[in-house]
Formats: sequence, structure tokens, C-alpha cells
Amino acid sequence: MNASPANPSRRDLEAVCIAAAIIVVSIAVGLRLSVPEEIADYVGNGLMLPAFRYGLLFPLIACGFILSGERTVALVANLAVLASALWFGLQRAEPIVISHEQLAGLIVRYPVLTAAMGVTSGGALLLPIRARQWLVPVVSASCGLCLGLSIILESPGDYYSGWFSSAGGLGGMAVVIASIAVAGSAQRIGSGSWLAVAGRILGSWLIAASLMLAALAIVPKRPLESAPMPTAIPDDVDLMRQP
Amino acid sequence: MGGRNIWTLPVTFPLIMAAGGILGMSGFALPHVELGIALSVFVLGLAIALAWKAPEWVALLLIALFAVCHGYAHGVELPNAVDPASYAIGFVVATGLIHVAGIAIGLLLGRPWKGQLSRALGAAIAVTGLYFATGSLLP
Repeated sequence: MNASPANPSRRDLEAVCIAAAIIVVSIAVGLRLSVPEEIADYVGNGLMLPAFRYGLLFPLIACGFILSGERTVALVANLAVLASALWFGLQRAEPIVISHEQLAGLIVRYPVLTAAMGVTSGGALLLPIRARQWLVPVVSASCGLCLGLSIILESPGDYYSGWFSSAGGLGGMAVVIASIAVAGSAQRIGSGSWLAVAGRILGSWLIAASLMLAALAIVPKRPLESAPMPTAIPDDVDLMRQP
Repeated sequence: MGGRNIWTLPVTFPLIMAAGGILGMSGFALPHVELGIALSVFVLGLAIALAWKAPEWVALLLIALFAVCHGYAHGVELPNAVDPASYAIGFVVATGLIHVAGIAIGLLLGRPWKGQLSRALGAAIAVTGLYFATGSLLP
């Protein structure tokens, strides 16, 4: 990891990250309790979306893990890239996807978005820290864009979908920020080399799962072997008779 | 085994397992998968029981062979899962967590009684693998 764990300003930043994640969740919980019931459902479901979709959750945790190794300026810049890509995915990418039918079909039918997130973030974790430097902005942009598009595609598409999308974006950012804080704090335990090992193992999990998800788009779905149909009921059996 | 193997083996297994999974998804007929899985339990249990420190390339080769069998079994079921994304992530992460648990158990139990406890557990695992292998061979 590049950042010195002993650097006080870095510790302050990690404290700010933890505080930011707590504030985001508190605001969302506050909104959930204070706004009308029909809107509150959208806020709650949107906020929890990244946590309940493992295909989104693990790449976001990996993204936070990667960002925690960056110097403070690069960390803030990459968070800005992530937020911008997320905003683009939420606000601007939907019409582009809808206008290209094949692309929209691929995204809706197959988990290509989560596979793309997993491959970029998992691949970056497998690389040595020096080699991964140029890939970090790509990971941030990829995770932000894919998260935004996933939220839009899961959005109910009615009058309140704006609440759902905003809460989903906030939830995703909270996951990344919390991961940065946790991974950054964990570097102070021991030498920190075990964290690199953990990162490589997490990266291999993401790559493996993403390769299988990508293969889903190519491999045809095969019918399940169904159980044999029950034999016909004899005519003399009265089904309505009480025991 | 220690050293570099602490991370090379847990990293290799899921990646090769994914290749096995794709074979399973594609409908490729891989014979004796269950026997391969049972043998993985037997061989790896025996390796612990005998405190066998295999050369890295041998360990990687064995792990790769067994990973194909494990991945294939999961891959056959994946395309028809209700939520394939969660299924794929779930089984890979569960497999990885089992590896992490194994590393932790190995580190904790490797020292007491000069490693006899972990070797005894390895023997128990090998016996279980032998039971599974016999079960998959008998009609």
C-alpha cells in the first residue's frame, strides 16, 4: 500500500470516510422514517439494493479495497471519478442503452454489468500494487457506471423511481467508502502484507465468478431434467371423498 | 505448506474452478466427476495426515485437477439458477471462505502437540474421502 499507515492526516481521512458512511446511512434511515410511506419504501429498497445484490456488493468492496491503497489526493480524485461515472449511469446512460436494442437486451438478460465490474476490480486486485496504478481510475469508472446502470435497470420506472435511484447511488457510495475506511484501518494491524494476500484471494474470487457470469451470455440455457409425470388416476378413485 | 503457497493455492483453485464451471455450463460430458471430488477429499486429507510438503508445481497441478471437478459440478446447475449472478458469486465466495477457514485452522492447530492434532484431523478427512469414493464407485 502506498499510503503510510502512520500518517496522521491519512488517519483523519479514514475517520472522515467512516463518518461519511455513517452519515449517508443515517440520512437514508432518517428519510425512510420521515417521508411518506410510499416514498419510504423506495428509499429503503434503493439504499439496500447494492447490499443485497452480491454481484454488485463484492466488486464495490473490492473497489474500496483498491482505493484504500492510494495516496490521499489520488483517493479523492478516484472517488470523484466513481461518483461522476455513477451519476452518468443514473442520469445519462439509460437513453443510450435503450436506443441500442442489442446492448439493452444483453444487459437485461445477462449479468454482463456485474461481470464487467468483477473482472476489472478483481483483475486489479490480482496485480502487484505498482502495476495496478493505471488501472485504478478504470476500476472506479467501471464500478460507478455499472452500478448506476444496474440501479436504473432495477428501478420500478414509475413516479417515485427518482427516490429509488438516488438511494441506490447513496447506498453504493456508502459501501465503497466504508470499505476504504475498513481496509485503511486494517493496514495498521501487523505488517499489512497479509492484507495484500487477502486482496489477491478476493480478486481471484471475483474473477472466477465474473468469468462464469460472462460465460452465461454465450452458453445456451439447457432444460432441467424434469421428474416423470404422475401416472393417470384410475377412474374409480373418488378424490372428493372425505377420509 | 506455508510460504507463497498460502496465497498461490487459494488463488489458483477458484480460477481453475471457473474453467471447470464453464465446462459444466456448456454441456461438456466430464466422466466420474463425483469420484474426482471424493478423491480430492481423500488425497488432500492424506496430504495433511502425512504432513506432505509437495513441491509447488505438484500442489498446483493437484489443486487444478480437483478444482475442475468441483467447478464442473457447480457449473451444471448454474444456468438454471433463479439468480445466476448471486449463485455464481455465492458458491465462489463460499468456497473461498472454506479455504480461509482451512488456513486459519491450519495456523491454529499446526503447532500444538507437534502438529499431531492437525494430522489426526487430516486422517479423518481422508477416511471421509475414502467413504465418498467407495460410495460413488459402488452401484
